[in-house]
Amino acid sequence: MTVKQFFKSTAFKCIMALLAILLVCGVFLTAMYGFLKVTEGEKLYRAVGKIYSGESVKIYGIRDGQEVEISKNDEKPVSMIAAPVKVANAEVSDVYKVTYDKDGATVLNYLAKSTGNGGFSNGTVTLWVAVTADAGETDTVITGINKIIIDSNVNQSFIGNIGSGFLDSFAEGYTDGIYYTTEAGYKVTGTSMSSNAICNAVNGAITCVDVNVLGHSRVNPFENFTHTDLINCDLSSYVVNDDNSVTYTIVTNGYVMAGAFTLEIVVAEDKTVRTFTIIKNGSTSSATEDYKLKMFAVETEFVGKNLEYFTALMADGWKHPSSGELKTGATNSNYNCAYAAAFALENYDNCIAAKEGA
Amino acid sequence: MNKYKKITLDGLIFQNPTFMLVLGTCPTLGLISSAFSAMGMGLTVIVILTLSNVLISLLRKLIPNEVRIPCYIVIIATLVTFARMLLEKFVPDLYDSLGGFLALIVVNCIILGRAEAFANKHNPLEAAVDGIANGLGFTCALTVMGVVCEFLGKGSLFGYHIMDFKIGMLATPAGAFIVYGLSIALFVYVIDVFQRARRVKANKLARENLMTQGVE
Repeated sequence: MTVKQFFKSTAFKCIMALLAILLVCGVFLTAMYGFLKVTEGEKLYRAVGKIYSGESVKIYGIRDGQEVEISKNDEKPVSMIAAPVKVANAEVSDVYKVTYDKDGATVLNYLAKSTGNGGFSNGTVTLWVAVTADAGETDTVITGINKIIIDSNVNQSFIGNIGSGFLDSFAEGYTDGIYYTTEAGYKVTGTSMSSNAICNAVNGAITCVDVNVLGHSRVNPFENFTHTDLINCDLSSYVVNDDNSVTYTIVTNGYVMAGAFTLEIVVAEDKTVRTFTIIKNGSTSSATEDYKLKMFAVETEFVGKNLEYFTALMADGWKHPSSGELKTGATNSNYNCAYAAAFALENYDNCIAAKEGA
Repeated sequence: MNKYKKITLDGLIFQNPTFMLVLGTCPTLGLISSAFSAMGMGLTVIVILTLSNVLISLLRKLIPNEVRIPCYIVIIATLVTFARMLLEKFVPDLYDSLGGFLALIVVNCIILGRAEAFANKHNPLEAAVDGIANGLGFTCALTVMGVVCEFLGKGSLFGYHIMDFKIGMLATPAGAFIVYGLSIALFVYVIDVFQRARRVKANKLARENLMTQGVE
């Protein structure tokens, strides 16, 4: 085929037709993108608009140590926190300062995007939590919760059962220093694990705003304690008794299929378990089998045992065991309890030292 | 029958893309759990289908037959991308609710099917009427099923709470499948009854004519 023949051929016509259409479409879309582009700032204002419907809000972040107002044209709106903050059972990715006028006064809110762990099927729920604050002369303090909306979720099949009434109950029940738990009634029946993730997200948002934005310190009774991975340090506590025994009230984190356990463990002075009581069993039941019945008899078997016994029950590094006594068909629940007992025994000296230090 | 009336009736009823041709099943099953999403998808398809039909009809003599399908897809993809930009900018709630199904309009059988079967053989006006009629047929079908699924599955209509009773499964794609099947059966039955009645009427008229001619 000669060059002349090629230019007269159908193949050439096809190539030219396709290229021409591609060129025209490409130019058209490029031009339209310039007009119709939605910036990150605009997306943020839309999300905020759902929370503060009808209010004319101003949103602020921190850039180079200075508080700056975020506009709708911002390509990358800056948050009040430089990087995502991990708190117990939650991660807060962004916090923005929001102000608006109401009844002649300026209302101050901190809006946190918080992802709570411990949901159904090990999933998460991401919330926008609007925390109200009062800017005093010397210090800004959290005064409550304005509103909560759900942003997204992972694996939460029954999240549709969560209504605005439940989310509003967090604002109504706010008490300074007290964390929300499903045990305290912050749950929707049939969606208790998603409710748990929501509680974690709300608690995480409050903690992050208080500590990482407002700069307050929260006393952590388990500071310097080891092996806290499965322990909910916000909800757990301990008391050193007169006979040098230590009574722990431990709330565990959920582990895979097992939900959070609430346990009371008394460690005697000889570093053995004196009593082991399940206050709230986090083992999940299903229609066909009750995992609680399959659990190792922890309340009797664990009594009198020392740390070596529990570390031997678990795999190396206190990991989930692949074989052994805990494999009863409710291994996750057994593991959760054994981990809590080992935690209590290992940190006995820390409790005594903390009391003596005090 | 008037040419445009026939095109319209075919698109809306006799060749309804959802109930009679069973095209566009993917967005149908995915979106009819919400009446708002279903209607939004339908309206978006009307616009894209009409514009693609007109453009393809206008270009039908310029596009070589050998590369017509790639050309159609480029045109449809451009229109879908443009529609996505418009929705994201001006109707973000609908954009969010349609999710990935919006981008999938590019490979929607209805749009490509009408381009191949109708638009490249007819003038732009007829192609536009065909696009609107088929789009309306698709929208009506989706909206009706969306209303049924949302009402029975969630106890609400277009997001407004109506009643506490609900059959949760109907708000899932599996429930949508059942409602879709029942809707097809009902639609085909109604069309069949209507066409049978029309045939009976036509036969009666023909018989009367014959008898009249016989008497004469």
